[in-house]
Amino acid sequence: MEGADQHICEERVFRKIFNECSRDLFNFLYYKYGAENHPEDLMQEAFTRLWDNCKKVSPEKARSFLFTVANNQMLNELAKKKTVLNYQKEDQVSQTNESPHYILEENEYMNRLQKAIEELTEEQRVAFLLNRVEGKKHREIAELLGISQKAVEKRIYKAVESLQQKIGNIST
Amino acid sequence: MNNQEYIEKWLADTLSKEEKTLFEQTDAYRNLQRMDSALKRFTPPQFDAEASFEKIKLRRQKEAKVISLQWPAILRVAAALIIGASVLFYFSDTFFGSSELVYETGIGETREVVLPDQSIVTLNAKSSIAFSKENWQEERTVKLEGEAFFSVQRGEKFQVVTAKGTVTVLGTQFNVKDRNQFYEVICYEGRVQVAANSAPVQLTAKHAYREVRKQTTQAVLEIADTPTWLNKESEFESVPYQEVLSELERQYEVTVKTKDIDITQLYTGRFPNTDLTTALKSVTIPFGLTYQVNGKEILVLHGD
Repeated sequence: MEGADQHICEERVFRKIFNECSRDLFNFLYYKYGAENHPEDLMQEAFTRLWDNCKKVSPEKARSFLFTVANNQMLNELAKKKTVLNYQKEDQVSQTNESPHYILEENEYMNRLQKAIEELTEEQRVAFLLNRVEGKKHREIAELLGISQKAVEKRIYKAVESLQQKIGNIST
Repeated sequence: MNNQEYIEKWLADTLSKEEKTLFEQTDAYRNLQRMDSALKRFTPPQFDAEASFEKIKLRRQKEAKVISLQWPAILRVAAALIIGASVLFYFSDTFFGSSELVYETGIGETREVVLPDQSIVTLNAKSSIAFSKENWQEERTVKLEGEAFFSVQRGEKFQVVTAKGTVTVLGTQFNVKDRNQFYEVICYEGRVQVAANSAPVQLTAKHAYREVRKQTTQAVLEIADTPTWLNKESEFESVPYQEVLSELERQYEVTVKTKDIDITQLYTGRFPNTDLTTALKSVTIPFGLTYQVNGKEILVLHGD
């Protein structure tokens, strides 16, 4: 914390942190609460909180501060909407060569997967998607969430187990 | 190695070459593979980082208590009513038709907010409420941080939600206080239901529900018809001393520190919200304490 340059209250520094963290934070909130609970607003709120505390938080701590705030954010919110995570529909073009049966089966699979992901616990879902969609390492996730690597691995495994159970086997 | 161990190793990417070859021939693996490739389609949506940053900047101005007049920008911000010490800008319903409305007070301020159904909320210092005007017809729900007095119009269920609990009423007057380790609901008229740490409890007039560090108590209080803070006085009945000092900090722009004092002891009494010296005397003399003022910092300590 030497000199004013390093201060988060400096717009330049704040901006830098925003550029580095906003995407990750948004994705985290999206995984946690889904599209219907305004992850973008929640992300902005976390940054506003960081700004409110810009004198107390050092730039190195900003990232974990943001995630801690984001993680606790909705706890006292009411009217929380059901978690909805959308998947990208496949292009029409790539589907033209497939048989109607395949398309049907594929859609059904995606829907089952979507539902199963939405039904995971928040904790499992966040760790699982950060790992499988974002490709984040177990260690990185542990740091972000402030938990042990073992706990991360456990959550991911539990998620996989629950998903596999719900979506069932590939029909052959 | 069993299935679970294979999957765990696969997840951690620590399967040896031989193990991998073996595992890849199983159905379990094919199922995982399929899921993994399907997951790629769950990438989160894009968001406009620039617009987001602008909104954060806008919210930040709240700190400086500057009211920006860029209405279109404000409209895009959910819950961005910015009101400083001088309530020049009484809210305008037309501008905020569709988002959640937030009203807040600073240190030493109180303010009255009229809800869409003409129910009235009075906020004590350092408090905020939020509600959705859009959904008001279906759901009379107010989120509260801090302390407020509610005078509710008769009608459908009315709810006040704080971090620690929910108060449900039909039409009545009551006060909710949710501060740090302290949660208190006092019913002044009618009947309210409190659902917090314990099973739901019904309160009638002059009854209080209180939770201090998760300890629940109920009491009948000797109180006036409305909270004293509406008349610029803070009143306490058997309230932990720490909470009394916190209230002092919220009413006056000061930091209160203590030295060798039991801050869990219970205080009964009142102090004015407009005269710091009298207030300090009121909270120290009964306990045989004294205080030192050092700019904005106040130290409370033993009298001798």
